[in-house]
This record gives sequence, C-alpha cells and structure tokens, in this order.
Amino acid sequence: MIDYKPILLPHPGRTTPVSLEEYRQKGGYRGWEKALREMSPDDVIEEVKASGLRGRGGAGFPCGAKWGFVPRIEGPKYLCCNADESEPGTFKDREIMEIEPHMLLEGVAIASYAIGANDAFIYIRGEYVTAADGLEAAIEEATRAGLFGADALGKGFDLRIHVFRGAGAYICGEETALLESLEGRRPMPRSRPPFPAVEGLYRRPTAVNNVETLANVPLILANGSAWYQTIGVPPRNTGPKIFCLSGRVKRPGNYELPLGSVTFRELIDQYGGGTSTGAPVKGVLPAGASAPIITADRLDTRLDYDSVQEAGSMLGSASLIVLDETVCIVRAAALMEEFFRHESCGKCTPCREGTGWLHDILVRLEGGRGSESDLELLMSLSGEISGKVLCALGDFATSPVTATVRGFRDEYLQHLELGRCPYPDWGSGAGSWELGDGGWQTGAHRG
Amino acid sequence: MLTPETRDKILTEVERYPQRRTAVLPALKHAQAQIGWLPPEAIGEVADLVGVSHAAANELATFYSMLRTRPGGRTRVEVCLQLPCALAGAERLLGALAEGLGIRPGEATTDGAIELIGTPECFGACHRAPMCRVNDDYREHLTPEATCALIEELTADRRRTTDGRRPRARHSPSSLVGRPARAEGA
Repeated sequence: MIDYKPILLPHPGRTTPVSLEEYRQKGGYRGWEKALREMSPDDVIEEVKASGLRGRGGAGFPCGAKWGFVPRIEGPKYLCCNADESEPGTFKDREIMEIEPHMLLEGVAIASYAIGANDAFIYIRGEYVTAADGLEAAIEEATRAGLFGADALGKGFDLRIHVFRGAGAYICGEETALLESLEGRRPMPRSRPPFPAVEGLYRRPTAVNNVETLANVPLILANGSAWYQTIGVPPRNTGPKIFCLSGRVKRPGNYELPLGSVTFRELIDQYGGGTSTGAPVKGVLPAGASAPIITADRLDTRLDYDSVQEAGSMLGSASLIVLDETVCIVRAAALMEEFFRHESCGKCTPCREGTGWLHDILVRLEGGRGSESDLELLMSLSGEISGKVLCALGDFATSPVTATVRGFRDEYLQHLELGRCPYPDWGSGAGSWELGDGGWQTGAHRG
Repeated sequence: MLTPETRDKILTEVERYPQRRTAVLPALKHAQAQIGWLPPEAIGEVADLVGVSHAAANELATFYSMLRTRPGGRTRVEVCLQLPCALAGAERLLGALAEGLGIRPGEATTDGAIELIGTPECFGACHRAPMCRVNDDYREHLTPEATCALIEELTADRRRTTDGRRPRARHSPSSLVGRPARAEGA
C-alpha cells in the first residue's frame, strides 16, 4: 500500500456529518475566505486551471477551462452541482455529501464566485434523502454564520445555494437533461451547441460540475495549485481520486488515492483484499456499466485518466466493479443492458429501441438460445446506436455489449454450444450459496 | 383533493425558484406524499397551483420512477438487482422477501400494506450489497439474518396497521437455508 493520507474522505468509517465547527477547526472555508477576500474571479479560474483538476463525474474535462467558457456578461448565471450519482457501482458522491457536506458547499461557493453566479443548485438524486437533508442543514448552518446568503463574508457577493431533489432518473446525470429537469421539463438531453456554458439553465450561462470535482476546489484554493500538482501524475492526472470498489472483492468500499498511484491489480489485491471467492479476476468494469471491460491481461494498467484510456477503456467515475472467474460475462452484460433499457429517456430512436433489442438478444444468448449470428447482430446494432444519438447514454449503452463480445467471444459461443449458461448459479460454484459467515457467498461477505 | 397543508407547501415551492415551472417536480412530490400516489385529479391540481398546463405536469408524473401514477403498497420494498448487488446475491434477497411476505415481485399484499419491487436501478450502496429501500430508508448489508429480521419487522408493522387480518407470511423463508437457487426473471 502506498503512503497517502486521504483529504476528501479523511474519516474512514464515519457515519455522521462533519459539523461547521469541526470543518472550520481543520481549516475549512479558508479557501472560500481567500477567494472572496484576496482573489478576483479570474484569479480563481487561473488557480484551478493551473492545478490540472479534471472533472470527476466521468468525462474528465478540465474544470478551470469549463469555468472559463462561461461568458462575462451581465444578468443571471448559474452553477449546477451534479449530484445525481446513479451509475451502477458508484457511491462516492454519496459519502462526500453524507460525511463532508461543508467541503462540497465550499466548493460550490468558490465555483459560483468564479463564474459570477448568485444562485447555485445542487441537483441530487431523489433517493439520497439522508444526503439531501444533511446538505440543507449544512447550508442553513453556514448561512447563519454569514458564509453564504446576502453579502457573504461582508464582501458584497450574494450567494443562494438550493438543494433540488430528483425523482429517479439516471438520465438526469447527463448535464443538459439535468438542466431540463431543473426547468421542470422532461429530462431529455438537448442538442448541442449551444453548450450550457453559453445557454444553460433558463437559457443563461451555466457551469455544471460533479460533486467530487467541486470537493477538490477548496483544497486547491487553500493550499495552492503547486501543492495540488504534487498529488498524482502531473500535468494531466493530478489530485486525489475516490475509487469505488464493488463486486467480487473481500473489502468493497471507497478508496481515496492519488491518480495514477496504483494499478487495477494493486487496488483489488492490496485495498480490496482480493476476490471474495478466491477465484482469479476475470475482468473489471472501470466506470460502472458505462465503459468497456478491462480484461485480466490489462490489470497492471495504472488508474488514471490517460492510462485507462490507452488500455482501451475509460476511467470515468472510477467505479470499479470486479468480476471473478466464476461470473457469467453474458449475464453481467445483460444486467447492465437492462439498466440502459430502463434508463433510456426515449428521445432518440436508436437508443430507445436499440437498448431493448440489445437486452433481449443478450438474455436469449445467456439462456443458450439464439445463434452465432446474434453476435454480429449485437455488434451491428451497437454501431447503429453509438454516435447516432444526442447524449452519451446511447454510447455507454453499447460498451457492455461490444467490449464483452470482443473480449469474451468464446464464452458467448460456449453458451450456444451447451444450450444453457455454463454458470447456472451465478457462477458461485457448488455450495457457495450456502449460509456462511453471515454472508450470501462463502466467506465473501463484507464487513 | 389536496389538503390546505399540501397546497401551502406547493405554493412555497413556487416562490422558491427563479421560474415557477421548476416547482412542478417538488410539487408533485408533495402531492404524492399526501395521497401515496398521483391520481389524474391531483396532477391537474398541482398544475393549476404552479401555473402550468396539465400536460406539463403529467409528462413529469409519467417519467420519473419515484413518481407513481397508480396506487401501490403503503410500504414499498425496492430491491436493487443491478450488477454489484446481483454479484452479492440480490436475486436471492428478492426471492427470500417474496417468500417471507407471501407475494411475488411486482405485487402488493392483498391489504395494500406492502409492495415488493425488483429494479435494475442502482441506488449507490454497492459496497453494502445486497440492499433494498423500504420507502425512503436504505437497508444495507442484507445478510440472511438481517433479511429475516427485516421480514419480521415488515410483518409486525403490517399487523399493526391492518385491522385484525393476520398475514400468512412465513418468517423464515426456506430459500434462505442454503439450497443453491437462482431466482427467475434475470
């Protein structure tokens, strides 16, 4: 294990939120005070640009550059924090919001100042009730202390932070769908351009940033971009990253580490305690259901944006779902495709219809029915969706299919040869469904 | 059909945002919190209060999975069946709950007390899988023991809220006793 002290989630195992007082004792809101008292909005943007911070929601777009796109014009501008965390395997923003609400709020405040927004919205998925309640309490606490509200810190900047609760729709994590949802319309993605920076919420200039991205910002302001650059692999992969580890590992959970400091194998073995069944790793989904699977031969890839991309996938939100050798890859793909079928908003025909067809074909193949030509059908159908839709959901929806057909073609064929799934009880092997160690699988259960 | 309290809450939402249409979604949630679901009359009333067309409110009510346009159980038990939970036995969890509550997934008990749902949506609790939501509460780390306790709890609640009619649910589902089983409907 590497020598690193977490800074975004410094309290492993904690279940109660850090109060304003506790946060301030540890230097909280120093970045916000510095921004308001000593820096112009442009200074803030330059500092964040210099840090190299890239978006932690999935796309990895440079945060400072995004703020720089917001035009310096009169009239309302908005900051939207994307807290609609719904990617399968992702639970990092939830922990930040439940435990460190003030860290996020400080980031929201600094970002709002940088782009000149007096209203900020935290769009949080409707199921995260605990986190939303905690954020509302923290906003009240900080407003009472004069940190937000009218004339924040006596520096003439007005800031209202609103918590807006969603109602169960993965598509709201797509930034233009999020804006539509906030406007009270069906959350269907917009055609771009114009981009949100120019025409966002209520058709006004808007920046949309993920929770974890904004949680990094106070540290950059308080300690400087030069300090931030010492974490990770500068210049393109700087800072800490929370890796959500789930699936067949002994110790699933959030692990905060510098970008590029460990490989898939090291994270799984040293932090996750290895696979829960003891069987070798078959593959890892690096970004939930949305990025191509990393096969076992690529586990020595470093966990940073560029390395994972070179390995043919995407770091995305860094939600690693570990599959061991006893897991049926076709069934895993079918489950993920069912998710996209369920969550497609229905605006673009290729995605609306195609995700359902892909799912039906995968279910057929998993049951050992269908034919070899179904594999070509899966690939050609995927080609008819990817790149032919308004948003990334359609593209993402094809990766569980194309990457598994390419990487595990023999396993697909094995289903057809046997006329059934070779992993009849979800691959856990004989006896492993038995009740042991209080868990569903032998010795597999999580502490 | 909305109470004065609900109408007040909705009007407060309308004041809160830069544009009133933003208030439609929170307003629908207030209506649902009062009634339990969203009948067409309630959707229309919300639309009138916020000042949008009935269609504008209806298109939200019929889109979001947390909004319901037909009645269901008073207590909703929603089991995540997405990949990380599936890898931790979510289908067995769903099967055990179904057996323990005496209903099939997608159904409500005949007295309307409990509805059981299996969903491909992920709730962000993959490190504590398998899990379910009981209304808005997260129930995580659902080991067989914890699942039996949850069934007990749900059944006791139901007994308290149902007029004397004893449910026939079994408390220790046989499917929890180590038989290799794969629930249907993957």
